[in-house]
Amino acid sequence: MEVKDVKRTVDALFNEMSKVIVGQQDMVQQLLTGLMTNSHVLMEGYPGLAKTLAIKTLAQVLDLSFSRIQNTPDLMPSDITGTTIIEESSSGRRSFKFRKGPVFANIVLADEINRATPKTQAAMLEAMQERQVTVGNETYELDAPFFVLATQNPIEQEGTYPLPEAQTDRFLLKVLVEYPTVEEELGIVDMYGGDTRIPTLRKVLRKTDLAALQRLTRQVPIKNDLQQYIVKIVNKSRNMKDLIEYGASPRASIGLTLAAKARALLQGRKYVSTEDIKEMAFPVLRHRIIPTFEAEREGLSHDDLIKKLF
Amino acid sequence: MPKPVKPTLKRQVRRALAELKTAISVVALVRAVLTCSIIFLVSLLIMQLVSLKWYYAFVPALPFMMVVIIKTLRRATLDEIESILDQEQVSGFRHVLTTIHDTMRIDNEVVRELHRETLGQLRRIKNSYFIRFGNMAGKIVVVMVLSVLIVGLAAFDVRFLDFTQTVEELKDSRFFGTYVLDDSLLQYEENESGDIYGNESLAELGLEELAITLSPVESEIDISDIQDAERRSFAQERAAREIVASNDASYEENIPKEYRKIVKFYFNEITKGG
Repeated sequence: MEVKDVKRTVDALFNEMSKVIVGQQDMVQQLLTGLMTNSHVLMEGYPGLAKTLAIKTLAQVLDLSFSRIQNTPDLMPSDITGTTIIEESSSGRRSFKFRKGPVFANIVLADEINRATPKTQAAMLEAMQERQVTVGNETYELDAPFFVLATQNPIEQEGTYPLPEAQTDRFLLKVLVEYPTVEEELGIVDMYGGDTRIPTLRKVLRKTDLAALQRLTRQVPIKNDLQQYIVKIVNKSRNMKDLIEYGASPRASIGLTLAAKARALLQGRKYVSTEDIKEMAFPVLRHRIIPTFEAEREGLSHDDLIKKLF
Repeated sequence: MPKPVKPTLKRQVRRALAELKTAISVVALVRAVLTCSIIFLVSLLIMQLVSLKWYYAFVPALPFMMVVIIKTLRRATLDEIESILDQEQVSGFRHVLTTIHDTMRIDNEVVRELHRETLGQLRRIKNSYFIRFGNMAGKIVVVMVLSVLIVGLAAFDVRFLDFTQTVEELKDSRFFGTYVLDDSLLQYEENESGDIYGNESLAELGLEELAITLSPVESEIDISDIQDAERRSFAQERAAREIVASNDASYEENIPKEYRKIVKFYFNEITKGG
């Protein structure tokens, strides 16, 4: 894939996904941003907003293997990573064989990740960070590319195990999925409420093309004062002690730079602009800052705090 | 695999950036010269109206001109482009140019593509994009009007005042002349006596140790003469005879003349006894 093909490919991806997903352009764009930066994405939204459907659709239009993990409190780490089983051959000989878990896929949908126990979450997060899995004494590398697209529900907090901040930091983006507009909802009802057949999706992007896209994303140039602007924003989140108790780490600076580059490329530009940084600051930073009690008392949301960093 | 580095593309971009900066600087300088001309002509007009020589016009004009030129040249950078270029085909150009400038040492596929695109855009930019015709035309008109005004006023010898003569007149006037003092008000006598300090002997006496002896023989008071206590009536509400109030002369000194009679009558009344 060459640079001039990027916009055309991205447009084709959007068009293909819009056959199944009505609206939610921001969500789709941010999912693509995660893919282009080879990073994981956490999606939060109320039930019924097509979070799971978007991820499944994305996996269909990409030439990548897909698996789904429905997290429940009784899910064990071995249910994710895989386990060693005894296998008997036809000659009666028994041997141990490692059966790979659902984490051995290119795109892993971790549905309702906050329902899993901390132990199970830790197993998933080791895979996310190290891109490998350890079972017993053996370590197994995960296939590249590897993405975890996790979802969580902001309501129904009973019986959940919220991800600690050190672990949410592993996700590049936290996407807030909003309700569709009236027009979009009419389109959804039209598509899914009638007798219309959902079209078969074609594969738009192959594995090699995705690797090239990821390489091109990192190559997008960014000028010096914008890099300084990014570092200044992240640094300010650590110094605003009256409103932010814990600010973002340097991982956020790297993440924001990559996310801004991805957005620029998605928009068809070959340079990063200030608007890219300001738009991507929200999904990059909202799960990395912890507001103080005063900020919560004033009713300031994470996004309100991020606006004060500009 | 990325293609090998093509030095010609980078060199072209560098040359294009240099040309762009030169074009911006030239246009900005022309604008600055026009502004300076206006400042000088206004100054010259003022000098003519106050009958001063023409070269005095440089005195107020030169500092202004230096500030204008320095400010204009400093701003004649890539930042100027944002304020000047508002054609759609070159929107966001400032970001592109500064990105290229900052990443000149980087060579990859995306940067090369960016260079190619930018070169194409640079070719579309004309020098006329940097010229604000309205603004420049306005300044030229102002210069023409001022020139005609100066020539016309000089031809008809119109002046508001003669500055040199006015300054001379002001020097001779009372406002700047010598102040004549009434010396009698400044006369004084130096006090050579120590009267205001009181009697010196008392001060000296205060330093000595005094031994006082009461001599009962020479005194009129007989302290052994003890009488019985007598009942006395204090029915009359009158102050003791030893206590007397009289109006003090010092009160009269600071009281205005028309009130002195009233104050005197007041004090007389209160001393009558009541």
